[in-house]
Amino acid sequence: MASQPVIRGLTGDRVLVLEDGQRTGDIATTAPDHAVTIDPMTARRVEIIRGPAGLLFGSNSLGGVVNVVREDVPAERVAKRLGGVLSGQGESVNNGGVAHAQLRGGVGALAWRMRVTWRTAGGSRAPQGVLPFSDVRGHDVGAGVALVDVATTSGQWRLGAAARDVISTYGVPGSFGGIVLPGAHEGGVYVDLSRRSARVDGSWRSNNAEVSNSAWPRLTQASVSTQFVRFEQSELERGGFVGTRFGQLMANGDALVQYTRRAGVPVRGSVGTWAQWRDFRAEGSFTGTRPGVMRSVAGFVMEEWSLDSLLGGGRPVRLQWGARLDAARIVPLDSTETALVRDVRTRAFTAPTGSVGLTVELRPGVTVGASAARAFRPPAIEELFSAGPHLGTYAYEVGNPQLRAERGTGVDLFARLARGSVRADVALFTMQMADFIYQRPLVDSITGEPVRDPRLRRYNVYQADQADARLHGAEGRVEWRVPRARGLIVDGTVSWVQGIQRAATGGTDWVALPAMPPLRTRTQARWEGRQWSGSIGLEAAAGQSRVPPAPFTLGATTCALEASQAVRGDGAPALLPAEFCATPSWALMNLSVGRQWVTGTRLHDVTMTVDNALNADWRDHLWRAKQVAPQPGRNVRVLYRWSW
Amino acid sequence: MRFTWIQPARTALLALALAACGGGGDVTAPPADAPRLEIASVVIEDTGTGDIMFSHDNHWHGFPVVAVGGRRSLRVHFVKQGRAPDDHDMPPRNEWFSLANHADHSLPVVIEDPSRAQWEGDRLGGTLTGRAAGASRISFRLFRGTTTVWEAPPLNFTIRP
Amino acid sequence: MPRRSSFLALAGAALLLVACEHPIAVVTPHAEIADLVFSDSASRVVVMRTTDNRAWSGAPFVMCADDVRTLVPQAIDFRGQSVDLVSRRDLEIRGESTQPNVVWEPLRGRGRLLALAPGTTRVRFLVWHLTHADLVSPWLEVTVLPAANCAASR
Repeated sequence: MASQPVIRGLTGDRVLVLEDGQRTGDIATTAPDHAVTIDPMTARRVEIIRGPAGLLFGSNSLGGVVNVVREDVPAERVAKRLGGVLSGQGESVNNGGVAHAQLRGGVGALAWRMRVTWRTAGGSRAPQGVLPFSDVRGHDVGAGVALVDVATTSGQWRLGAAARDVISTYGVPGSFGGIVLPGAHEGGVYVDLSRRSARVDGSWRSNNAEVSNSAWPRLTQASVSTQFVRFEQSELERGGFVGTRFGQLMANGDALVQYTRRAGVPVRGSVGTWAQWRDFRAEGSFTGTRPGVMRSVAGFVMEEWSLDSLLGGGRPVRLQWGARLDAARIVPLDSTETALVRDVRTRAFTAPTGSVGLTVELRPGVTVGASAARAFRPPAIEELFSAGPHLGTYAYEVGNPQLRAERGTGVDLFARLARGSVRADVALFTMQMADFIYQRPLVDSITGEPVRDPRLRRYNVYQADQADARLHGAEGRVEWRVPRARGLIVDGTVSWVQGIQRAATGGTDWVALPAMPPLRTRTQARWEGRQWSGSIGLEAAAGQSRVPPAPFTLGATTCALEASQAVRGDGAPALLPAEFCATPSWALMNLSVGRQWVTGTRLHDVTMTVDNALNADWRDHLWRAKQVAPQPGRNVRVLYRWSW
Repeated sequence: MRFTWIQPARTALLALALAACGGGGDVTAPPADAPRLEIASVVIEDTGTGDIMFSHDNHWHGFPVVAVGGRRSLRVHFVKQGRAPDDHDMPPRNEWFSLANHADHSLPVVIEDPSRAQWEGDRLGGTLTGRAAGASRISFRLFRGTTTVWEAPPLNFTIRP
Repeated sequence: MPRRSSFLALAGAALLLVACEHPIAVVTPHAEIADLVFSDSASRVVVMRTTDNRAWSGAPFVMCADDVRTLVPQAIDFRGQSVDLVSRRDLEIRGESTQPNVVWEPLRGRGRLLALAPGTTRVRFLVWHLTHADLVSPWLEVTVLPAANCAASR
């Protein structure tokens, strides 16, 4: 719900989300109600990295690495003294808008950049009415300066710094149509977050980037980056009562060297090191949630071998391999035991990870490949030591200090076609994960009802647990540039994943993993002319009935509740948490039309987009209130952008 | 047509105005119809023994003791003025106030281990009845409607055989 | 180079902008203590204890002037378990007295009750947790006899 990416059924800490190559320092991966503090409107591009290259960034990247490139620290010289972009967007579904301004400029080697984004929106309108407490507002302000491409005899240097301040307030609805979700607050919950960060980047690029003819590595590039983040998030009830407050300081840095060498064939490689310190704390509502400090360090190497001359007969053949060694130490700042959490102690985790991949161009435009990877993820501080209510997830979360690190193995097979007007990709993947960590609701062994928190009897208690898991699936994409209709492109994607985990009861039973995406497809026809553009698209998902069985034998019993039943009181059935409920299928139509024109050296761009044009009632499988509340309905967005 | 700054400025202002219209107000602010009660601590008075217990930040000074089968009548008062961390004196009586004039507030009470004791009461206080020897905790949470106004730290109590 | 040095200053300032203290101060949980028990450090005999933190047994406590009693305090929680005061470095047993003739000197794992002069005073003990008292004991009457009287009775 809070915009975390889901890749191949994996989300949270298993999908590494970076900004300009660095971790964001927020707590988005710790819970589904925690927002990612990345603004896609200001991204220059988004990179999805899989395979051995992902090891340059982390060990827990079976789901992939998403790197949002903003270039807060300028990476290029700017010829103009002053240039920029002004944009504004309004949308109808929530009476909301976004205003964005970016200024950039440079004099010689000095380049600078400033960005401001301001966002506000009211409650979202669904076909059945307004979703209460779904409003949002905030700002994102940043500035960066750098000396770029400073020439020396050996190469070119770059040294820069940037600072950023992100503030956001958003609502987490807990009711709709008179029905309150179990553990939720009828008045909703608000999340106030603040993220302040600063970074310093330096890099050097050799004047000679040609592949070396020597077995000895020759440096082509080196970079150093360091970042400091102060993050704070409060979860409040309407009226201002703070239920939970999280705070985190994070510092990290990495150094990377790229080189070329020859080992019979040309080789390009990278070797580097990374270190991070993270101090996470929580307070509020007498949570007892334990603060902890996590220190991590890693060393990694990755190489790409060009085997064209050896195997390809001139056709590109690439072998990539990577290896990484990570060590993490998590120290609780408070070791007090409670009835639910025992043996709170320092935990240390060390593991090697690796990946190897091969791509072969069988014939012009036809490439096949395969990769295999071994991944490792130590438990997060929250998974080990939590002990308290979490308003945004309607849960009382209890950690498990005995958790082991997750270890995963993944295999990918893929094929790409690029012939004439057609581009196509297809990939098959399978993953096996040992000690997959998930949140298990506790059940009273005598009554069969959910265990409620001891203090308020309001929230279901969830404890971190782990079990073996398996995922497999397929993805496909096709793009066709229609030959006789210049500018007309038709593309489509389809994705499917299935995940199972060993049942909590043990033995040989396997049950569905929670929060698995259903079969999804997207088709779009778009036309891009010189001044006009437009698109029409269809997006659809099959129903998702593969959900884990609810462990309760009494208490929560149903996924669907009418408002009239809710107000009856005694005898009314209780709602199951969303992860045990199926999701119906849905289909959406999206339209857009745009025009751009130039006046002098200024570019103007206006786009009108209609999302969910048919105002369909649809429920996302990850939406925690899906049993009672739909997703937003028809939304008309108008975006104006002016750049110079 | 000669370019001037006015055209894009006008358009940008329009876009900004579009962006600015609508949206929520300060949604975390208390409802405008009545100011939110300011509470720093809670004082509980045992009307039978005269014992006083009071909260202070995240802990209590004093705790109730009840015999199995016995009953303690406890009246609940609140205090607006906070105290320094090292000030462990009881708040003066003239600072206490009850919820008698706040009918729109409620004080649900939860006992962590209901096998130890039972609570019956309303927003002014209640009766703690001992059921089985041992100890547990009571949570007091002050609501206005369905919105939490304030929460006391959990209060330990002892049930004597 | 002046441009580079001023630039580095700018970079340092950027880091300083965010390099500030943690948004949440670490507060270790308060100690949920029901009673205090004091034992003689040599004989390990219990010399005084509270009951439901309302009254002292072993009261009044009698000492001789110039006497020093080394006592081992024990904090008992509501489940009857002892709270480890040695490993919990955030907890300390402090003492307050109404007259200056009796002083409590806290040490790690124990404390010393010093009778400085004859007279009767009241002493109470606080389980001090960083900045505040998690528990305040009831007042304990302490009688300090003149040294001569103590020597005669011995």
